Amino acid sequence: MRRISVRIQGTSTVAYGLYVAVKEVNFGHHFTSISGTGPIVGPAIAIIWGWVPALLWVFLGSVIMGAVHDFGSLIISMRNQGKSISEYTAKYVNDRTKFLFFLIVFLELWIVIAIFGLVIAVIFAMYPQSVLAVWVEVPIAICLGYLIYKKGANIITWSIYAVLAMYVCVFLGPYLPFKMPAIAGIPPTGVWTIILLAYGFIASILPVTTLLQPRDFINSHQLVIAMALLVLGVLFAAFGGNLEIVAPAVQTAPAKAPPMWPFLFITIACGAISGFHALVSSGTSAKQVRNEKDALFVGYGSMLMEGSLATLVIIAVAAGIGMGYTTKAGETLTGVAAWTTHYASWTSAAGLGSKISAFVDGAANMIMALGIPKTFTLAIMAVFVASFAGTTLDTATRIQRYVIGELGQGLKLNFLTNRYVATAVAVGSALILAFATGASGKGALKLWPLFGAVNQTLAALALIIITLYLKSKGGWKWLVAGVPAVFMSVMTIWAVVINQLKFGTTHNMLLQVVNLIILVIAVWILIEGLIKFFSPTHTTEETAPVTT
Amino acid sequence: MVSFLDRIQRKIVTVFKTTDAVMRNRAVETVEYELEELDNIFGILVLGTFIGIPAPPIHITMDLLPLMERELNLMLEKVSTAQDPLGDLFSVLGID
Amino acid sequence: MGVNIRFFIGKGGVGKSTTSALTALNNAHLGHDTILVSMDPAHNQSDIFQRPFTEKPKQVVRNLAVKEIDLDYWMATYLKDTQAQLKKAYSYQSAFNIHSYYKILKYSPGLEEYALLLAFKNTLQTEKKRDNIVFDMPPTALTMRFFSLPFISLIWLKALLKLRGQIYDKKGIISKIKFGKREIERDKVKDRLKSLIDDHIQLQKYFTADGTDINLELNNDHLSFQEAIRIRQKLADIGIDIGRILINKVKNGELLEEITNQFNGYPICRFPLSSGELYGLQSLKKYTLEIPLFAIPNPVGEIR
Repeated sequence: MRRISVRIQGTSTVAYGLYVAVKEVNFGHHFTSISGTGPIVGPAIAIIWGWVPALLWVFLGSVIMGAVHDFGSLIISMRNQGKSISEYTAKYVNDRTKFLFFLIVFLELWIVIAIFGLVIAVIFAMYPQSVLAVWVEVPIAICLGYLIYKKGANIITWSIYAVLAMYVCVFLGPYLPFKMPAIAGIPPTGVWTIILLAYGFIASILPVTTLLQPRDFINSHQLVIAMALLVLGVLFAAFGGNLEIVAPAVQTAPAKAPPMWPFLFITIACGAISGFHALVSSGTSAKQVRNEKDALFVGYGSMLMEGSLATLVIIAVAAGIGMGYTTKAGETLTGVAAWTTHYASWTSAAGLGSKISAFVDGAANMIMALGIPKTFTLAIMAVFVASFAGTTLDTATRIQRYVIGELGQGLKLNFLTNRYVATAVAVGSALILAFATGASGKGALKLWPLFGAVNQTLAALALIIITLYLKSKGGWKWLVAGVPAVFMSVMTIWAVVINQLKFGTTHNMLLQVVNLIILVIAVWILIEGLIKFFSPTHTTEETAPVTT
Repeated sequence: MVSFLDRIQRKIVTVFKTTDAVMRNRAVETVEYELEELDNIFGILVLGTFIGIPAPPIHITMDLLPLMERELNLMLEKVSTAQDPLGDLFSVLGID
Repeated sequence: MGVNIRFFIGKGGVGKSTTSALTALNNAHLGHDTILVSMDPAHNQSDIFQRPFTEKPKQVVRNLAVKEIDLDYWMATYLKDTQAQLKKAYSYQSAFNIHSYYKILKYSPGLEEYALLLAFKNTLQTEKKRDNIVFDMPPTALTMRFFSLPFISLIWLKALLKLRGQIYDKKGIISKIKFGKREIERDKVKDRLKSLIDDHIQLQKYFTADGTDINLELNNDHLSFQEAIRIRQKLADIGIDIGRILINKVKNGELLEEITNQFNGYPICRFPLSSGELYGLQSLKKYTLEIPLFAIPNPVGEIR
């Protein structure tokens, strides 16, 4: 029973509560939802295995696996009255897997909050010129939110002012850099991490219209501008400047880094295939898409768009970085030397920091071809990455608060349902995880494969569900999802096993435990999927697809 | 030649219009979801008697009932979300 | 100068019906156009006056008419009206689903006292030309719900209106952002809430107006005494004050002093226990002659 709506201006239709939008608008919405720091950090790290594998995985992965995954999740949700994946897991696999879901989500959010906090901290440490703009975004967003949502001011005018104000601060950044000192024996990155997680705590308690929504809104503008600059930058630098590939083509087993097989496939998640999207697809998108044909455009389209963002990142870290990089020592390197400083090993230079700076610097180099001086392009890019990570910190904490509340209820720990307690647990647990890798942020890179592993486990689960669904339809269609499902499961389990052995030798207790849990879950899901697959045929009744 | 430029121009205008619509939607997405929840709460408060929770004096419920078809439908829809809001939460809050 | 309203409330069995009948007779005797309205489902007035009464007022003596409220009728009418409105307003499918709920609504707590309020409002409307309306009220529980209903309703209504206002404002903002201007249709629910609030405030006014008297009746025994104290308190909690205390069926002097002390400040009337049963117009008239100083409350005079 869907009630639709009023056709307005030919561009969107709306009925409060039940929302159906034209496919382009939907696509834009879906894309801006899934773009963020993920498709940037992943490829920036994965380039260590060479640009060919990275590019191939992004292209082939997003087409053969990612889009299938996104589109499939969207369709199944649409055919199940807009239920989200955690609910229809119970229908297509069994009830036990539904419980797993919460656990996966908790783990994922836990790692995300920790990592993204570290990402921003690391950016602040390496790019002091970005600190100003990123923090100023907070009061700008609050003012914008107040004007638009309370006072009903004109949105176009004020968002232009807000974005302008942002960029003024970005350009002021190089003149007002801020270097955090070490405090009480904690290295600067560690101090920033604490501050940022505290910020996450406060931000996630505020009403959405106060900070989150306007900040998100400003960020979408940044996304459009940054992508436009990047694309133009690539074109100009390629045809005018000295853009050439400096990364090796293939490097399957770089020294002091995990092997390409299987780690490539869990390092680049967003941009190729990412489990998060299953949740996003089966959320409001499923209720907003008008019909199944449009779903094709939305699901496939946005995945491919994200793939293109990942591609731009690869270009930046494979070639852009070669255009020049100034080390801390003041030395300016170009070409392969610039690349190697970042990627000589997994933990070279500053671990996670060096991989991110490869992107920031690489992208900044390319945009320079448009005539903007390097200090500013660095600031633009650094602020861009940090802003997005900042919003994710906020939203992830909110959802984690809810998850902790639910888990608390289930485990009869009712004090966890108090929102302040739950938020504190969400942020505190992330802080512990972040510091488990060393307070200086150098070890942060260890967390990324964990994040990737959980993400891809989720993706594998979604693919398994899609496979089971297609199998019930008869014929060989199920292979479309089945092959990716098996591939992702195998790669993920393989990577987690390798990590388990590594954490074992370094005696990092916490990481060992977390990793082990992920291993158990991944194997469990695979087994449940296989059991269901080989059990006698079942029919899955479904209601008619939702159409206007 | 003219028609080609014309088409390009129209394309650009469409891109702008779409971006504008997307941006406006982005600006209100979370608020709209919040509004839905407020509507839901209002519905639950008034129509609570149908779901066995403390409700206003029955005549208030009955008086408002003819005017609240939308809220009633929304309540029924939200039932499944209430069981499991993760999907909605993830997409509304735009996690990546 | 509107119509005077007299409520007779108290524990079941204290003699409200008789006292209210006596009062009504007295008022009529003094020349005031009076109607006695029995709100008590037990309908003792038919017994007292020895003739059947209905919703349609019947003249008993000069200046006195009597009617009995039919609660079932009011409940049924109300439900039917709402159902009809619903069918008109809802799309076919939804109305179809709602139908099954209606059967249950008949037994909803709250419907009885609301029906009583409807009957009350209707009586005020149809009998406004009279001088006095005497209400013989039901036993305490239902009467208390009757009096507190407007009060409780207002609490809910005001809270709901506030929430609705917030929703309305948010819709305006969203509409402005999406379409450049605040264009939202009038909120019918908000309007309805406002008019309900006005209605209920009006109702409360009837209970506390100058021309309204609430007579709390008890006998000089412990149970009805305790109950009377509770009733007075509960009414005070919702801002309604008692007008007069009536001590009925007084047999011996027991408790009289306590009662007088407890209700110090209120006018108190005593009705001695009648020698025979007060049954039928004749014995009622005879009783009024028995009492030396006829102390039945009347609109103008006072008591002892």
